[in-house]
Amino acid sequence: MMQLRRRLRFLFRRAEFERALDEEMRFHLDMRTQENMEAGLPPEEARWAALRRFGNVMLLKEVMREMWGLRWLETLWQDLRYGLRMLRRSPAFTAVAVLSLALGIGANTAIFSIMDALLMRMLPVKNPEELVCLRTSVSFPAYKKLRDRNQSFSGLAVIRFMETSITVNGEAEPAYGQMVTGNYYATLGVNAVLGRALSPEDDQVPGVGGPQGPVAVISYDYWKRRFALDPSVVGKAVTINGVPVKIVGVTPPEFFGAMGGTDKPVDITVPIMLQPRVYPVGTTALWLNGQQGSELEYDGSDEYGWRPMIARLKPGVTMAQAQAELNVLFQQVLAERAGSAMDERRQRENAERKLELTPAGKGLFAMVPERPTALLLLAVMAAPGLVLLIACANVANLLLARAAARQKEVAVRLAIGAGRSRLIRQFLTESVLLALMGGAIGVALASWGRNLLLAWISNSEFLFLRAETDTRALVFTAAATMAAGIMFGLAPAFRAAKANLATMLKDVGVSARAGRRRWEPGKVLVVAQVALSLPLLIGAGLLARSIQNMRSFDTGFNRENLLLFTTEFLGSNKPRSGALIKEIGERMVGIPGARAVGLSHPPGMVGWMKVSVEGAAPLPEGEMFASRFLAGPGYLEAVGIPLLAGRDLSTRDNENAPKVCVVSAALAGKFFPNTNPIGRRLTFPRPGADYQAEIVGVVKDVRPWRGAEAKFSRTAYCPILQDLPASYLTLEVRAAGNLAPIIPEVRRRFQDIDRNLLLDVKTWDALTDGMQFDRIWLSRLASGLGMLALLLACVGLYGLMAYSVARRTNEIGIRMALGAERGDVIRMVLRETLWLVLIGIAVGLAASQALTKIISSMLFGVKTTDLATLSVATALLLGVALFAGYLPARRASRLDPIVALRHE
Amino acid sequence: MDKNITKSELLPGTLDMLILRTLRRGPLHGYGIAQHIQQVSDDVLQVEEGSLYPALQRMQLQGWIASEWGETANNRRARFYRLTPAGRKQLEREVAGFDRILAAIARVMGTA
Repeated sequence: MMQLRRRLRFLFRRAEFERALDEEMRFHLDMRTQENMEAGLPPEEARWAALRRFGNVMLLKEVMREMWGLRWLETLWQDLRYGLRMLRRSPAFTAVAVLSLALGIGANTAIFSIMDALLMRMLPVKNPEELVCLRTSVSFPAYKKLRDRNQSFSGLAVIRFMETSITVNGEAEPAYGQMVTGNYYATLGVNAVLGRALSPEDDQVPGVGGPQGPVAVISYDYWKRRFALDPSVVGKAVTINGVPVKIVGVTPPEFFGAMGGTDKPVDITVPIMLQPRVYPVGTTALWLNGQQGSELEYDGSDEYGWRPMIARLKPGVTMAQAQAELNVLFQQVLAERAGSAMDERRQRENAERKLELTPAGKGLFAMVPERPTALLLLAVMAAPGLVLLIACANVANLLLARAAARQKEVAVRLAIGAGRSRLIRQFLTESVLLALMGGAIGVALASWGRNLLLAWISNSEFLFLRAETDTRALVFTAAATMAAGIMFGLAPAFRAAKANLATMLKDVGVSARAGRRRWEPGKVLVVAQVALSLPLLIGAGLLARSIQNMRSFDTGFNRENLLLFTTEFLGSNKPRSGALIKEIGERMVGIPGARAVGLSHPPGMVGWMKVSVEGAAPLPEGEMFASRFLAGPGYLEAVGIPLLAGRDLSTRDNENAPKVCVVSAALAGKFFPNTNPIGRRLTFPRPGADYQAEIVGVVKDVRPWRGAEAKFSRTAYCPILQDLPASYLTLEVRAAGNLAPIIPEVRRRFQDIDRNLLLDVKTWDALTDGMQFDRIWLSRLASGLGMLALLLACVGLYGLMAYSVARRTNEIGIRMALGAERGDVIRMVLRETLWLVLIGIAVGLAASQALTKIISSMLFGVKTTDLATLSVATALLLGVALFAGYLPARRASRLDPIVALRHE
Repeated sequence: MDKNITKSELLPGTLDMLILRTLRRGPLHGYGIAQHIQQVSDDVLQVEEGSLYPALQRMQLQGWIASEWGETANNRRARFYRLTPAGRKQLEREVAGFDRILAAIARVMGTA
């Protein structure tokens, strides 16, 4: 260590060292000369004798320098300086190589981080790979039997997600919540960071919970957001949907719930036994008691509201074993209920029911690759890989081009005695230098790019992403790109090591013949880049067209000036009955600026269900389906669905009046092709008592869900007041003009009714954009990637052409001297570019036909062979590529023939 | 010339010891060290500059000796080397080792 420090000091005080050495030797010689003179030699001879005795001063100094110095450090420094000089001498090359590396590393890491958050991240719990999900909802009694009898799971918990309104210190605000069975945290293996987690003790008595009464656990994020990490939050009383609960603990910061990476984070968790008070939707009692002979009937997923179960496999138990055991148990449980009020058909259907286990290590809602989606995801995952490939190809290409150009330099250096290892080291230094510069910028780009991407594709309502720059990805990408850079950077050195010096030195004509070779590796790489970026651009284009088509789809009514105010009856003090709906209806009359106001269930809540029709034409059982939608008075008018026959729904169609409905022309035409439907009855089978209603009117068809098949416009509109209790309500307001003043007015009126009512305000288009959000983010991602790929391809093309021009300076000079015009030179260079791009496009088009098939399920109103999209993408590529080729072409055309001829 | 033993004939490692021993008397410049060794050994040991100066550098690097600039008796600037504590210890080690070798050689010679 000490030695190293002394050596380092030497390195910095080199000049001083040399001076001291000189003086010391001079002193020695002087003394010796004097001694010799004293011995009687004449001065001249005395000096010579001293010098002779001293020996080779230079060699001595060299020996000592080497003793002190860090030889390798010195040569490294030399190499670095030389390398930097070389890079500075060709700034275009340097910029292009560094940019490629930076984009390759940065963009890829950013994209990979997002992909990871989207698709691959495991839940932050103990041994997440042991977790499985049961997607079938079963009743609570059935759940208890499955939980207690199974041998496969160390825990089986039920989850029900819910929107909530939480009141803290008298202020209500929306939050995302869940109700879970008491063993939820134990099953997941999650402990509280503050206070305690929920336990089975807290989840015993319906409506009450456990010995401590209603309790809740909040997330770290919510603790931070709402309570500023105040530790006294444990023991605090808050109100959730109007029910007072006591906070008993906070979960760890990395844990957002069991649903996985992309869903809304859960803010608050309560025992599921509190549901009758906290979230009493119509199915609560049904679920809790499993009564009315309805338990575990077909159509189970909707019956109780979706309640997924999450379970942890015991060590050593495989998912297949667990599934086999669970299904035997499930049939037992079903058999125990059978015999009661179940008809033969239901028994038959029950016998076919199965519990499906899926891996839940990534969360319940993690995208589970299945069917065409798997291919799609594969394509999305492959895209960053493609970009990485392009980046590597770029760097390789540039370095190869440069290697060719440097052949003579190498030959000269070898000829004047450079060692081959020394030469390789020099090239290695240059490559590493490039890689480091690119890497540094790339790392900076990675986190910046991730934030940009995150802001672009995530959406607080549909796609929650918690992405961090993934270190593994960063290291991997950086290593891959740099390795490519270094490997290809060494090419000239290795080529030189093999080459014959004499021929290389003689080969002055290399510049005149460069660019003549038909298939050098550089060209192949550029063609490959162009070919790779085209499918990405086309994919993005097709998706963008689909989104556009969805937006401009004719729904059958005017979507402009239509505002939707949706509320969930959470935390309202008023009884959740028809009274509240009626009150809202009455209070919303006469909003200034509103042409019409209507009430309904939220427009997305449409059930496609079995129906039996009195006096209908006989149809196959598979066609006896219709949409059922709960609408209130004024809905048809506000949305703009004209009445064709009979009457509209009115305020008189309340809970006490006979059940009625209005049907769409498509429904009427399907079931009553030749008869008048008015006065006929529709029956929707449902557990308990079937829902039966008399048709009182017929309205025009609409297709509110753009892209939905035409048959879905077969709709029955039933009065919301005749199917209570309702948990949601949407107010449709058709504005006469400006929407802005209406929003605060409606908010104020809702607050007057009950200040706990939380409002969600949207235009119709915003609502449907949410439904095609998958398409939107995918399109954005694809276009981002496509642009990146295009940019990289152009950078590569530019690099190649710039080098080609530089190497052909001589040739171009001759051509110009012989009378070639500037235009001729530009055309000559551009022609070469064009050929490369055209070949790339041809390959790319073929590849994209194969690749876009994968996303065909997401396309709407556009085919994978859509001419417009293909031509726009191709034209864009061609334009940008030619621009990249034009820059070097222009430089070539501005060459001074005299200078060009003297070149080299 | 016959009676002069050149460096290559010195026992390996003894040059360092001789220099260290010389410096134990006090700081001295390179020329002085060479002269001293030559005089004390009655011209038997003649230290060559080509060995002396690299040895001095090497020993500095090892931390056995340190150098500083000073003035000679006749007012010339010269680099004076002095022994460091580490060098003193090294000298003891080398002397001990040398004594052992001398004794061993003496025994061999005595029995022959």
